[in-house]
Amino acid sequence: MIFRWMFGGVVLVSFAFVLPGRTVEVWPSLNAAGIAALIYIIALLVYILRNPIPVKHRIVVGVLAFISVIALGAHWTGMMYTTQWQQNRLLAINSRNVRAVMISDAPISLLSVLEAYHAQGKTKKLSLAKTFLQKYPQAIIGSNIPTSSMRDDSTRILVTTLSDSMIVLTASHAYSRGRTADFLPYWGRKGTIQERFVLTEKGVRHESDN
Amino acid sequence: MNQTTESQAPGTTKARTLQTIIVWCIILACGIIIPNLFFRIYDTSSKGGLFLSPFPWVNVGGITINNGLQMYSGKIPELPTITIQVSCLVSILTVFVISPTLFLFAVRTRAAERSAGKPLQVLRWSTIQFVLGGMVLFVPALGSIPMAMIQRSVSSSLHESQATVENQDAIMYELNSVACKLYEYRVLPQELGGGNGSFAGFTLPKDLASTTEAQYEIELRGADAIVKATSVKYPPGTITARISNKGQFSEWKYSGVFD
Repeated sequence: MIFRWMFGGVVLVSFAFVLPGRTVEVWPSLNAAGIAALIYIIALLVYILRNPIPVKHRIVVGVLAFISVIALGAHWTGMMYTTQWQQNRLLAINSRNVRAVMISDAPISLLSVLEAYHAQGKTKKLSLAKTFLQKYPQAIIGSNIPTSSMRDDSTRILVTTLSDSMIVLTASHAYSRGRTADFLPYWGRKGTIQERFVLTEKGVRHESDN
Repeated sequence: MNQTTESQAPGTTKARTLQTIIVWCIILACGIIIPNLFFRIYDTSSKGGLFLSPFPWVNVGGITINNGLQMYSGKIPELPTITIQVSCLVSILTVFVISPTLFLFAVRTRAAERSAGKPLQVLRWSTIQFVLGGMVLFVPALGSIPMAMIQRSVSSSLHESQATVENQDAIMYELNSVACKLYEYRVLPQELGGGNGSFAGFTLPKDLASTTEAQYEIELRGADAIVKATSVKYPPGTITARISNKGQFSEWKYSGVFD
């Protein structure tokens, strides 16, 4: 009988383990197997602790089983929530750092253009676009504006509008996670960060796309 | 003859009790050592190989953190290897299926043996089954109690320190906006609401002067400005920095929780 039970338990728990399929995280499989194991242990306890097991034994084994399940369950779920929280924090820190670099670099680049534009006085010879092109002669729609903080090539500040009255810089990141997973950025993977900076002669407007 | 037998009986009982205690001690020691060795011998997880752990969720937690680090550096996390999956499954089966089955069936067998009233050897299959199954099941369970408590305390201190860091980061983020507003004000002509080359007359827009994260004050010092952020969430915490006329930061100072 013991081998039948063992075999049944192994089959049940293994089936539950493979049920969620192969994912990057092992938690779905582990949790499914854990639930199946709990069901198995309860069934086993009911089977084992029937007559003629004395009541005292039933109580002792039942209490031990209850304490064990609670202790293991608390450790298990605690580990799951803590590590998942830490993973989310890591990604949130990454997104925050990336966004902070974008927000500190892109407007400064545009404001230096605005400074040069207004330095012409009331009568402007150069439009915003021409002033911008004086500073970034190679700039065309879609080109990247390099800044001092961008030490790697995973952040891009791209020129997306270049007209006499308006310049738009769109900052994107290769992989840093934004707010909406379905968002299609100008550059980079789906769901990544995108910030937009719109320069007009009145100043810089910041719009956070994702 | 009868007298001799009667006089030897208490000694025999004592010897039997002692023998029983020794045998139980040996069985319990083996019950602790064997599962321990079993879990250690098969632990090759550091080499990316098979592991057998009484706490497979700890290994899975490690995988989650590793995935987070991979994503942090822009890599796409890989699917766990078959070895990792098999290791987790075997660990779960050992702790939650095989050992409880051995232990609980031993409980039942021993109860039946005792009720049959036959003289019993201490070292018998049901005892080995009882001890081995019980050890593999209860040692992780007992170990889990202090581990769960430590984990809870670590987790709460992590949450607390992370909340402070988050507030600090949010303030730094907002300070960037303050610096941009200042720079923008300086470059704009008066007719467009600017300072015409100076920070003089600058006031922070209401939505930026007081946010859910901090309150900001600006003091003009020569051509530069000194901005002071006082945390709303952690009031003793302040961040002060100098902003140049080009909107660049210098002379960072932190106090309170941010120090």
